[in-house]
Amino acid sequence: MSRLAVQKTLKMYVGGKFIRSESGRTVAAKAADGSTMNVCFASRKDLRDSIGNNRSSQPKWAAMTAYNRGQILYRLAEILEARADTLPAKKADVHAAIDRAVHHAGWSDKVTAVLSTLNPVAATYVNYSLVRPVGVVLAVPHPDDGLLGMVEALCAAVLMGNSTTVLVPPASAEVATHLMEALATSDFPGGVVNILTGDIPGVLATANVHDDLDTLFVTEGVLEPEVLKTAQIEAAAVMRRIVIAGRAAEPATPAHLMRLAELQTVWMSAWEPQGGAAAY
Amino acid sequence: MPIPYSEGERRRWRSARVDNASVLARTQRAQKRSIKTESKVRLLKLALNMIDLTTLEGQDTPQKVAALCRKASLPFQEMPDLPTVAAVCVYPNMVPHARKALGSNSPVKLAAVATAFPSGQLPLALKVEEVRKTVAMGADEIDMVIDRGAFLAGQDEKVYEEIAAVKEACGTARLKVILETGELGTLDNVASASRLAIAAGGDFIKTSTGKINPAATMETTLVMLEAIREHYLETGEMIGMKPAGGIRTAKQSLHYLVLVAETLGAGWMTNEWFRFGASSLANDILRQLARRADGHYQSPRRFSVD
Repeated sequence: MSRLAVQKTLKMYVGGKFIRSESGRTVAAKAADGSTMNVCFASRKDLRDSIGNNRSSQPKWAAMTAYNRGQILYRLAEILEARADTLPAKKADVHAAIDRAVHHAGWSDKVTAVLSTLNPVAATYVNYSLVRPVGVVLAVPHPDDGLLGMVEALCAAVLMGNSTTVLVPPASAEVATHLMEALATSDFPGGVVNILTGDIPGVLATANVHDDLDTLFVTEGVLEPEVLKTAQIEAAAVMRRIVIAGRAAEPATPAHLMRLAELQTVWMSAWEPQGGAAAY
Repeated sequence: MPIPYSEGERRRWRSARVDNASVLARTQRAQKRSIKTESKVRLLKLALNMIDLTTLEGQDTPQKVAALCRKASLPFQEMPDLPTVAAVCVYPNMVPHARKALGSNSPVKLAAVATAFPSGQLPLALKVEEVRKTVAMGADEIDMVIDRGAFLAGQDEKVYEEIAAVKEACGTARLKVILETGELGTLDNVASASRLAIAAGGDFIKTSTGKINPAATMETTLVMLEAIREHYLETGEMIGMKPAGGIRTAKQSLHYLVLVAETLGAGWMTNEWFRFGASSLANDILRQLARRADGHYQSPRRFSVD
């Protein structure tokens, strides 16, 4: 006797929870096996909730040690590895995504050392420039990059201590759901990575006028030139950064990651009251 | 004015039996109401105008209170046409500083907590003295706490007399009676305490001090609104309501206004009869209003904290 399979509506992932759209809206999309799946469709309010959630989760994530953040990224790779066979994607693509998570996990506690500097000064103090997170990042990976694109975008965004909302189209929801389930079990504090499924230009129009979003991290080719231009104009009004990343085949370089961070320059007195090195 | 009461009436107050399931259902219905665009803006402005902007911390300084008063008078510099909040609410020692900052003609009222806030555990004579001094220093409104210990021990007479004595000490100042519903345990107790506080002469009944969790909830607010309605239907006298503590978002404030409008009607939809005791609510309301005004959803960092 044939069995009636249990179907699910593919949900979104915000604050460590699997949520439906606040609007209740779903759209139909094609699954990998040709069947139809129902996918939650992000509303304007969903984006606002997600950004608010990112904002409140970000300080705790940034305060964790870079080593600990790297461990959590590595854990994500472990979980994805265990599910590799169940993902509706080519084996090679899944493995590339897992390897990418490991790649960034390794960078986590090294990238700040590479990017921070000890600045030359002409008096008796030391002057450091330290890498600090920008805050909340909206990441838009290229749908054609599949799981690798999503993993690359979220790793790059959170590596510097930011929190992120990753925006994917409903057609990518099946793979995204696997990623959400991996995130939910990989020790990420809730709200550090949120994933929304929705209409990319539509959600972006809301993001453009949301002043509490610090950075837009988009992969090249994912936005129409007109849409990108509007985003740039709105971003300029509130000093929001727009980072355009290359396709996911290559991982973000430290120089690229620097654009998801800010430099904070601090000085410390090197005054020696007993005399000695002081010479001015 | 305090109403003398008989033992029979006291028993009737105490016999309040609240149907918890219906209260929950009604509050949930109120939260499903959709209020959009112009109606939303109107209600948000009204809610802003109903706020008792509060700072009740050990670390309050005259300067912080002065800043709070400036914010109360001009909530958001970029939108000078917005209404002021209803009042600032401070500790008695801060009353002279607040009075100085507000001036004597301010549309913003000056409320002060008194009667050994937040516990209320002090002899009555000292409480009365505290209230007298606070009013003399310039407070327009007094937020008193009831002695929850006495109420829970069944000493209604003591609670009643304290409220009546404080009311007398208030003179022309309006009296808000804090029931501290988070410590009363049940909605039945909330209903009984509300009736008692109204009979003893409270001008307002108020849910909480903000120092205890849970603070204001929609359920306790509804029960208190019903007590006010009951009193109004019996005597024709209006009593004010002030939920305080835990109301942080503009959306929550709209839900509360729905409850008020549906339970008590339009007569209560003014800051003379309804207040929100809150500190962070004002900023969220301003954020929503600014979003309506220029289309941009503002960062919370754009608004002053106090």
